Amino acid sequence: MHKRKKKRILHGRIDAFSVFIYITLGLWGLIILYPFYNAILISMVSQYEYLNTPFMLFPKNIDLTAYNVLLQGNRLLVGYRTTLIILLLGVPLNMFLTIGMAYPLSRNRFPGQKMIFYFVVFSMLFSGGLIPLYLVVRNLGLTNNILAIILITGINTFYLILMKNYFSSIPVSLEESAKIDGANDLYILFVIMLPLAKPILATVLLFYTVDRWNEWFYPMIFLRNRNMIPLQMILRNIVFETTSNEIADAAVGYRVQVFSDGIKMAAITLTMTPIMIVYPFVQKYFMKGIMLGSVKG
Amino acid sequence: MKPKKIISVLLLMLVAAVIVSACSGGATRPSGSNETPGTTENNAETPKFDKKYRITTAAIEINEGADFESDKMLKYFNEKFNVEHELIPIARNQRKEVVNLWVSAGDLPDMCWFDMVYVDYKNFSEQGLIKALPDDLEERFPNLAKVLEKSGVGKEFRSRDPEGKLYAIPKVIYFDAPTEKVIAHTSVYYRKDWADKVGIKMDKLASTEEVAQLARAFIQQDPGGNGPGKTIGIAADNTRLTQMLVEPFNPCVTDFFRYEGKYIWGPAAPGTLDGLKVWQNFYREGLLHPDFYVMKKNDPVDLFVSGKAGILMHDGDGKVIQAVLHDFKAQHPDLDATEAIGMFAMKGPDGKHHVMESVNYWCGVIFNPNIEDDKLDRILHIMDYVATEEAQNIIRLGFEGIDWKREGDTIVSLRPKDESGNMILLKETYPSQPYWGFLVLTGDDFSLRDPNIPKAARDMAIETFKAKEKDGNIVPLDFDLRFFSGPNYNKKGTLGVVYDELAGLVLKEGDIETTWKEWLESKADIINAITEELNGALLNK
Amino acid sequence: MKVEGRKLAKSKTALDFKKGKDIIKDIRKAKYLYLLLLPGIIYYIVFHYFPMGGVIIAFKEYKANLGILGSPWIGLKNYSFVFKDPAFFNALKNTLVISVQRLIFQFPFPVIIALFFNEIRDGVYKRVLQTVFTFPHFLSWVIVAGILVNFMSFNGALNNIAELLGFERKSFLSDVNLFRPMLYITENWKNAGWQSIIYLAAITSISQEQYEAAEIDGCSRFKKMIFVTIPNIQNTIIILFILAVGRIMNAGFEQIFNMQNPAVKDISDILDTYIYRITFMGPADFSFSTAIGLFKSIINFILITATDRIAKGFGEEGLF
Repeated sequence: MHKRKKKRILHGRIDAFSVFIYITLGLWGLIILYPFYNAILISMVSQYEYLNTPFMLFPKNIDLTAYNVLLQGNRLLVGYRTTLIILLLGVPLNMFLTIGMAYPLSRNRFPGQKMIFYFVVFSMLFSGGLIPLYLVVRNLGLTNNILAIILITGINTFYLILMKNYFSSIPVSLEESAKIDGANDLYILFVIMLPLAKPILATVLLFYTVDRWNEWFYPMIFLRNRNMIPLQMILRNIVFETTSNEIADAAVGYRVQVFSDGIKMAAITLTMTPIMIVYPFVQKYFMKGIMLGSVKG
Repeated sequence: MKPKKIISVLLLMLVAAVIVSACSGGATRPSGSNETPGTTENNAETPKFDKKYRITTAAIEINEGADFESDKMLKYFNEKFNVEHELIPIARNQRKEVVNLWVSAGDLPDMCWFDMVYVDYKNFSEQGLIKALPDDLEERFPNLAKVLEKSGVGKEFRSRDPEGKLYAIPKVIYFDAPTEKVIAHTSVYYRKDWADKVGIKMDKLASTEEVAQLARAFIQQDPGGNGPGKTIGIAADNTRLTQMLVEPFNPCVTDFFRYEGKYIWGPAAPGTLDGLKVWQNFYREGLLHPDFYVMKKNDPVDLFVSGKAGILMHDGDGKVIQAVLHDFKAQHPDLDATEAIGMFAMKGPDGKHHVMESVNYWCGVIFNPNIEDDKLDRILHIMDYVATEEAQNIIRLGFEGIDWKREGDTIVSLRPKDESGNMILLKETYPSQPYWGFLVLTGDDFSLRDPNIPKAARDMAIETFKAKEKDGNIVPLDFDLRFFSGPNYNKKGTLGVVYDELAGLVLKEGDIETTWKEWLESKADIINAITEELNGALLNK
Repeated sequence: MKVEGRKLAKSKTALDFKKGKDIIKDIRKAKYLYLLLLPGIIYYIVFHYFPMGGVIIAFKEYKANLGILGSPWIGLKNYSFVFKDPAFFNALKNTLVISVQRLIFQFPFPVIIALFFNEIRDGVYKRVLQTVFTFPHFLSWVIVAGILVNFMSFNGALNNIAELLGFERKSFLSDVNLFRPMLYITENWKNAGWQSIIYLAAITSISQEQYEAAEIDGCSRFKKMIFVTIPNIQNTIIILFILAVGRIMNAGFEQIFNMQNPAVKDISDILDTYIYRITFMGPADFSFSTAIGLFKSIINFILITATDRIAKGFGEEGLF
């Protein structure tokens, strides 16, 4: 096996089609980028300027009150810290459990394989609701414990299916030769299969990471420690406080002199920025991983 | 990497994860009390506080990451009652569902915010999911007795309970309401300076037609200098527009109510159509913001305060008025806010202000059913104290000598100011302040006499209240309905939020009467199912 | 041009087991596989199957003090209200229509994006674009809806552009005909880039020889995309399609809830927003929510098995 550069063959010609693609993707990229840029602008100007400038491209006066409001106290810090803990504990567990199931399920050579797979998919479709789940967690003694958050979303069946599907496409011949050489299944999985499955591993790793980053629902129900609240939950609280229509919030304290859109946009920018900084680095490896995975015997 | 090595690494990570989370996980255990036998601290107060309790309390005003360790207000209450509070935040946008889940799963903290939907209260109390409060509560805790009485539901709750027990403490709104019956403080703000410029004088009550004239003049003559066609007449969302334009004709439009002896649905009652016509005409004429139906709570206020809109329908209690004046001044430093802004209320075709009587409570506090009676007592002592004037002063003004001081008859604020000259809010110095501020009393009461709120703002609120009451038709409360539970009635949500439904009618093309009738027709089955249920159960009482 | 299928793992080899023949031996041979499966199975049992038993409260009147088992049975009474409610059927209809339209107008986009990206030369342009494409995924609909409402409001950017181009200002947000298309377009804006990642992963495992063979046959870039790339990811596409069908009853609550407004309520009300309205304005009723959840699950289940059968009927591999 030797790596072949895809590029020379595939991208040799520039025809009308490729021009079309470049432009279409570029335009789509702009359509995505502009609202974000706009959001950053809104977060940095005063309400007055926002209401009076239809097409803001550059702010006239930078007004960072929205950020000051948000960064007051430890609110966002708690969010970042909690979400980071959830990430660092949760994602490895996710990968461990998912790989552990995806690989065997992709091999059609043991009793019960089909049954277990049905078992897994069925659970994706039916649910008993929140009360039973709450009771189970409580009986495990895990309420108000971050472990509950880590465990409840231990496997995303959708991702499991994707991974299993990918494993299925890896030729059995590799296993056969390894078995002949005396390897057991664990060796096959870790030494042979995983390196070949880098694209799907990177993909699922990314998916789980982002899911954990966005997680707020189960923390909302189970966590009661005000220093253990994930970022997304805090963000939702902030946005809700400044935009809700419900009267009770009048009692919670009157609004600060920053307009609600500004706060919303500042909150977005603060949540997005770490991701925007980290993602290109992750993606570089991720794309490289994908490229390397295109090795086939 | 050798497989064994990989496995051991993964196992180690798993073990590490378990250890880390066991240490970092929440300190609280599930429900139940956990008193620490305590040393008596510094209670000059009473010897009965010699056992130190740790109280877990969940509320919606508690912010994530707040630094309660150095919070002097929290410390004050903790020391006074020899307790330790653990403050638990509740997610804002799903608070009702989350608390209901906690109650149903039997996992409440010692005390918890509750939105006081009566049917839930009744179900939870019947199922033993919330604690029954002492029968002698009113005797032993006179301030709480006052709270219960003023809220109007203390006796109601007890009388409707088969054993006469009480299961929640409502948060009372007014001890001394500015009006005999409690009514909503929602009112209309307007630019008095613009009105002067266009030569219109507004009384304390205005009809929808008068409002239309005012809005028209603002838009056409642009006294604010926004540019032609850029001034918005009325800044209001669906809720406010219903209150402003439909309630003068039918104050009971938002729910079922008893009309001429039988229960009917608000939007089906006479008067609704007149209000809808007005609303639609306003919309089609361009007096409203063109996107009023997607506005969120603060958008209209932003528009008014920035000078883009001339009329605003909004909360009208002292606190809010002061906030509006304050924000207005920040954006228009050259204007005198109290001269530039005026307030009035709406009157119907008969010249009266029509409004439903409000309940004098908003949400409440419930308790873990397994809480120790002694601990509950301690909490009740705290809540009782919070309802006193002394405590309210501390909560609303701060500590005497530090945040304020008396000078003769008046109270002078000693609060520091920020760069723009605004008083730094109490809650920034004492993060637990919003919690105390909403624990037993909601603060509307205090805002009527809060010395930190300029008299002009307070007066504006009180005057408008008086004007509403003087020429007012106040529809009395219907507790039977409020406390009713029936399989159909409980699902009345399917009819939609009335404010939004009415807005939807207004936006449709064509004749509003036809639209309205068709809409009622489409919902007739459900409406009838509910009214039959109501009439069957409530009319024979 | 024949494409090597994805059927490799299923081919008969010495490693396959034959049903019934000496099961004990097979189990022992595969003992490490079982070991690998064990943690996951425990997870499913504890966090999915134990709670799943609680689904019976759909047929009960749940009273917390009696518990799930002790609460009284009431049969189908939890459904009697909704089955009489025209709003329920309207919501059901909308749910199905919107979901099907999503399958038509949303589902292909991530595939197309992945195919397009595959055609771009590696480099800064590609990497920057790919990063940018994933941004919107990280936002919640609460915020995106806010941005969009702003954008399409009467005095918003879209209208400003329209005015510049000589059109009159329009109330985009209240236009009933625009709402659903807007749902699909904005959902694509938000998620298509992110969802294309899985297809990209599938594409990169296509062997080069196939492209080279196509090149020799004189295929244009476009033809290569159609005849090489697509067939190779066909299986992935179908699996994802079947899984999407299994979510038909969901139709996108977060998005619709945050973007809905009174003008478009009739055509945008889905089951989940209908349920939300009832529970929001009423007392806590877990039996009811579970009952509707069960209803949705059953329909999802029927649809997903049906689609799987159909796919198999076409000779594809399907989910099961």
